[in-house]
Amino acid sequence: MDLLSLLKQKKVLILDGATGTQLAQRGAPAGGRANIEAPDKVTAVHRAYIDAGSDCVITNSFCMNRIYMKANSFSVSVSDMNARAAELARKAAGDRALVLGGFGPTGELLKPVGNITEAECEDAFAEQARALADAGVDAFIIETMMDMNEAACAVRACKRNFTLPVIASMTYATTRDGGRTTMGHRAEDCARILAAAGADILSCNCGDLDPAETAIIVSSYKNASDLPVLVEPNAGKPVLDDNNNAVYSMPPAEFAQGVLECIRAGAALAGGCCGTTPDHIRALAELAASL
Amino acid sequence: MADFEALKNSVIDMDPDRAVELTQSAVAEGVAPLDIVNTALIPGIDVVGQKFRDFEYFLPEVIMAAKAFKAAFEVILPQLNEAGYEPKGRVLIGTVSGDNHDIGKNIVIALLQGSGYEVHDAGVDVSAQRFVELVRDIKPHVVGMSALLTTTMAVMRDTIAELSGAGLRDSVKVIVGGSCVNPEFAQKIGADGYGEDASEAVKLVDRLLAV
Repeated sequence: MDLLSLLKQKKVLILDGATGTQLAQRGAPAGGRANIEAPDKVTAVHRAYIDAGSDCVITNSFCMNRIYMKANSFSVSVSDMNARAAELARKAAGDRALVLGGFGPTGELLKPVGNITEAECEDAFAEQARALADAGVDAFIIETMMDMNEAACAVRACKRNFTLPVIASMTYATTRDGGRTTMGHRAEDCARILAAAGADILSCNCGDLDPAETAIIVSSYKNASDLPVLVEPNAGKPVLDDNNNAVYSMPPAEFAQGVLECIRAGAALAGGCCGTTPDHIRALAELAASL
Repeated sequence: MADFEALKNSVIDMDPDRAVELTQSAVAEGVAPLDIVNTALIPGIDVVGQKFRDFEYFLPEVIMAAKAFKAAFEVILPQLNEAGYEPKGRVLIGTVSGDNHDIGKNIVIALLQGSGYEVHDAGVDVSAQRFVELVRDIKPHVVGMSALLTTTMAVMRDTIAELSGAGLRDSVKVIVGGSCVNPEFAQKIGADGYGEDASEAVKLVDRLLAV
């Protein structure tokens, strides 16, 4: 079944939680490198989320676009990296869950503040979209964007050659003015720009907001657009553990209660970002089933 | 009479052309280069930092204001060199390994240079071992570490430990910054200070070196 049909059937569609911390717990390297060096562990993380109740899992391909990969000295091609990420997610999902092809920022800022043009940005995302679509993902998800114009480039790049649904997710630094990103972009403006670029679902992930505060973003999106809304908050705000590692420690039940505020504000899809675990997703799935 | 208020405002208003023009006329009038920096450029950047903390300015405004600051500073740099001017101190700065974010670090570098420091940029993705090597080679007075990602904060802790292990910890002041870092973290890992933003970082270095 496709994403938008499944969304109509479910009161709340459940996505997955954090990938990086789950990979680290299994002793795998962070990010895309795990697809090459520890593929079984990537599949295991996806499987853990599906077992916990995820209707969709996101490929481990965050930021695996040519601009980011070049800046970070990856030795594999964009197409091989993304194809591998999609295969690993599909291996875990089979027909139990949908596979969403994941995108992250290029790591560069657009002109005039930064150095890359919108055309360069869009081409980089189009190349990644091609690799993910060829490997059979069910939809695209663009995440952790602080610049709505970069996010719009990614949406247009996905829509350029494919009809697959696109989720566009921004990251907010404050709830002020109904939500503002680090670039200063307001949530309502993000909603309008991303809808105009062709996004099918609007989203908010990561950032400086806790799960309950994320409801403010949902309301802003709903004021500006009729599109369905996804939330993927962090497990609270980072705190230091005994070894001075920054950890996200909000327990699953509290996380789910925060997400409930988002659902009340109109969110129809929910997952988790930094620090969330299969237990957080299980708590979300149980909450969704009780609604 | 040099218009320090207008020059300060040109930084706040992110106007590099106006900043250059006003700096040139101040220089032509014979104003001491460091007076221009301390009376107009730094106060301008301080206002920008405050506006950023208040969510009145966002990243693009801070970057553009730093560009105006830098453009003005480049006008007075030749005068500073000509005057045989001694740097206030030597600073080594880098983004820790696993992290490639350099926007904040580069703004801090521009401000430190503008404020009269000799700055060595170690770049991004700098390991604890690499920091130790550079401290040995460059002998900075201050080491600055930057991180955006919470996952890379531990490298700051490890770098301080490596500096201690190499017997270098007492020869440098260590400061940390970046959007994931806070004063509590800085204190817990044994850093000498934390800068909330770029202009605070400059004040912190001034304070640590008592200049």
